[in-house]
Amino acid sequence: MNSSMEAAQERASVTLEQKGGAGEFWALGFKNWILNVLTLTIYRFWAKTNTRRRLWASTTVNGEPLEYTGTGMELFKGFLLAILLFLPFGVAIFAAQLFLPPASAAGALVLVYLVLFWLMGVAVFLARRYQMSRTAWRGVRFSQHGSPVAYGFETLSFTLLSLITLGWFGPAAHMRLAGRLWSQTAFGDRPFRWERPAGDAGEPLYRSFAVAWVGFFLGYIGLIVAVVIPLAASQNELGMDRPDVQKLLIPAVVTAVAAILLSLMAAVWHAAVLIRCEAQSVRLDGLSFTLNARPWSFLWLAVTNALLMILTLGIAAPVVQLRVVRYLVTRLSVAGTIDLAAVNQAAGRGPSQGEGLADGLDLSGVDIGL
Amino acid sequence: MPPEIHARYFDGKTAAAHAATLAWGDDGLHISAAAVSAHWPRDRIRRLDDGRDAGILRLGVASSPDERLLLDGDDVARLAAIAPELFDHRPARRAERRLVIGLVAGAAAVGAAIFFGVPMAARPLAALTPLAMERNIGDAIYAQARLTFRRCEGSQEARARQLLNQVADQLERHADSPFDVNVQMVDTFMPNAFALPGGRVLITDELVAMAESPDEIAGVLAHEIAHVEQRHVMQLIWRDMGFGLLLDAFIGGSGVVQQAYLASGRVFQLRYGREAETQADTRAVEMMQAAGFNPGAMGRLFHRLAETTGESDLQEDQRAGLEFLSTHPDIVARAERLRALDAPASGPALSDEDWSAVKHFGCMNDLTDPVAPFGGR
Repeated sequence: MNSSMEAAQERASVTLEQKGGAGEFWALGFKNWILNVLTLTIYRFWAKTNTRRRLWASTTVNGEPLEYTGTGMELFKGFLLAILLFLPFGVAIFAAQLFLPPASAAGALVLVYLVLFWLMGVAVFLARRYQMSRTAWRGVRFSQHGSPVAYGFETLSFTLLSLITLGWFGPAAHMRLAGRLWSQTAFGDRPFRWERPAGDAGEPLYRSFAVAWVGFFLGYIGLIVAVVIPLAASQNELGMDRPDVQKLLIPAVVTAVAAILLSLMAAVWHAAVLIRCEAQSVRLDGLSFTLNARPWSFLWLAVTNALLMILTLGIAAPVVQLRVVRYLVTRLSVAGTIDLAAVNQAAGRGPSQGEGLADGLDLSGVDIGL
Repeated sequence: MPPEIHARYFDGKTAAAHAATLAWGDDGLHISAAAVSAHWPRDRIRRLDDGRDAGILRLGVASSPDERLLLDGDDVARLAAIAPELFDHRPARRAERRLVIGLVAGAAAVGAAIFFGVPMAARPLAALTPLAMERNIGDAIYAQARLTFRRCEGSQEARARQLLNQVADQLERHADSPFDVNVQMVDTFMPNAFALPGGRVLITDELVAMAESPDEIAGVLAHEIAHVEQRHVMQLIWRDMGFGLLLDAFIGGSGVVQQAYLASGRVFQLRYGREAETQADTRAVEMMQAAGFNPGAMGRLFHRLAETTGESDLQEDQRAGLEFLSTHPDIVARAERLRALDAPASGPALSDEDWSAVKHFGCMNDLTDPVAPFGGR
C-alpha cells in the first residue's frame, strides 16, 4: 500500500517554536569553554556540534523537533583537510614576504587577498551545504545544491563591485548571494524558491541603506575630526599642554562617541531590513515567510549578545546562539500550507566532512538561518 | 497485557507522519502503523535525543539511518519500563570521556611540538639554511626596510662607513661568521642597530650621535656581529614561521581562548629572542676583549639609552614585568653587567681624528643628502 496516497490529505500549515532553556545552554557553555582551554581549542568541533544538536532539537516545527545529524569527527576531518590546503598557502605567503622585493611582495599580497575573498565565498557555501545536509525534520534531510566555486567567484566579484561603488552595490549583492543559496536549497525533494515580492509588497531595500551610508559617512568624518585633530595638535609644536588644544578635547570625544553610536544604529537598522527582505523572498511549496525583526529589538539583541560574549570571555557562546535562534523563531511567521506527505527524501547524504575552510578562515559565524 | 505504547513513526522516505504502536521483544522493536510496519533490531537502536529540550524522545536505527520514532509524555515512561537499556546513559558518557582524554593528550603533544619543538628545531634549521638563501632573504628585508628609513649617502658618509667597517673587520677576525659583515648607516629617528640575515648590519645615525667613545660603537657592532655569527635572525625566521603557521592552523574558534593561546605563543617567542640577545652580549664581550677594546664601554651606552627611554627610573620588579613582554632583556641589568667589565683597553677602536669623522657625521648634516627635507643646508 502506498503511504503517500494514504496521507495525501496532510496539507499542513507550519508553526515554529523554540523551547530551549537558558540554564542548559549555560551549562553547555561552561563545559565547552573548559574543554576548549584544555585541548588547545581542538574540542571546538565537538563543542560546535553539541551546541547545534541542542539548538536544533529545541526548535520544533509543528511540535516536532528539528534534528542535527552532524558529528564532531566530521568537522575535525574537515579541519584536517583545510590544514592540508592552508599550510602550503601559508608557507607560500611567508616565503613571498621573505624573498620578493617590496613591489612584487605587495603584488603577491593583492593576489592573496583576491584568493582569500574567493575562498571565503567557497567556505560559506561549503559550510552551508554541510549544515543543510546535516539538518533533518521528520527524518527528511535538507540539502544545498550548486557550485561552491561559482559562488566563490560571485562573492569575489560582488565584493569588488561593492568596493568600487563605495558600498552601494552591497545590499543588491547581499540579496543576490542569498537568492543564489536559497534557490538551490531543498527540503527533501522539495526545492526552496527565491521570489522577491514585487512592488509595494516588498520591503524597500535601499531606503535604510541610504540612511546607513550617510550615517556611516558622517560618523567616519566625525571620527576623523575627533581623533585626528587632537592627535595632530599633540604631534606638532602646538603640544597637548596648550589650553586651546585641551578645550578641543571634550567636544572631540563627544563627537566621536556620537558618531560611532549614530553609524552603529543606522547599520543595525539596515541589517534588520536586510534579514526581513531575505525572509520575505524565500518560498517553500505553498509556504511564505515574514520575519518581524524590528530595529530596536535587533539592536538590543546585538548589543546584549556582544556584552555577554565579552563579559563571560566566550563562555556564553551557546546562550548567545540560543538567543539568536529564539529571536528568529519567535518573530518568524509562516503563511500558507505544505503537503508534507508529498515531500520525499532526496538521494545523496551530502559531504562526509565539513566546514574546514570556514574554520580555517575563522568564519565562525556561519550558521544557517531557519 | 501492558498498556500500548504510541509513537510517531517516520519511514525516512517521505515527510508523512505515521501514528504507530510499539512492541518490545527480545529481537528488538516492532513498529506497526496503518500503512507501514518496521522491525528495529535490538542492538542497532540508538537514542538520538533524550528529550530534555523539547520533551520529545527521538529514536533511530543504525541499519536504516533516516527512520525515526518520536515519543512523548507517558509513552516515554512506558517504554522505559520495558526497555531500560534504551535509556542507559553510560555508553555515551564513556565514549565522551574517551574522546576528551584522547583530545587532551593529542593537544598536549601538538602543544609541546609547537612550543618546544619549533624553538628547538630553529637553531639546526638556521644552520642548515643555504648561505645564498639567507643572503637573498637579507636583500629582500633590506629592500623592505629601505621603505621606512633612508640610507645615508654622500662623501662624508662613505668615510664614516669605511671607518665603521674597519672596526667591524677587527672584531670579525675573532668571530666565526659565515658571512662578511657589511655595516651601513641609516637615517631614522631612533637610536638603534640591526643585524639582517646575510651579514648586513644597520646602525642608525641617532645611535652614533649618542655614543661618546669609539669603543661604545665597537660594542654595538660586536653585538650585531654576534647575531650574524650565530645566525639569530635566520633562527627567528624559522621560529616565526613555525609558530605562525602551526599555532594559527591549530588554534581556532572561540574568541578569547583563541586569542589567549596566540598571545602566549608570541610571549613564548619573545623569550627565545631575549636568550639570543643575552648570547649576543656574551659573544660581543669575548670579541671586544680579543680585539683589545673595552667591553665595559657598551654598558655605558646602554645606560645612556635606558635613561632616554626612562627605564632606568623604574623599580627592578617593574622592569622584570616589562621584560616579559619585550624583545630584549632588561637594558638596565645589561648595562650594569657590562659596565662591571670595564677594563683598560690596549687602545681605542678608532683614533680621535677618525672617531670625530664618524661622530660628526649625521645624515642631517650631510650636504649631499639628496632627499633632505629642505633640499640640504
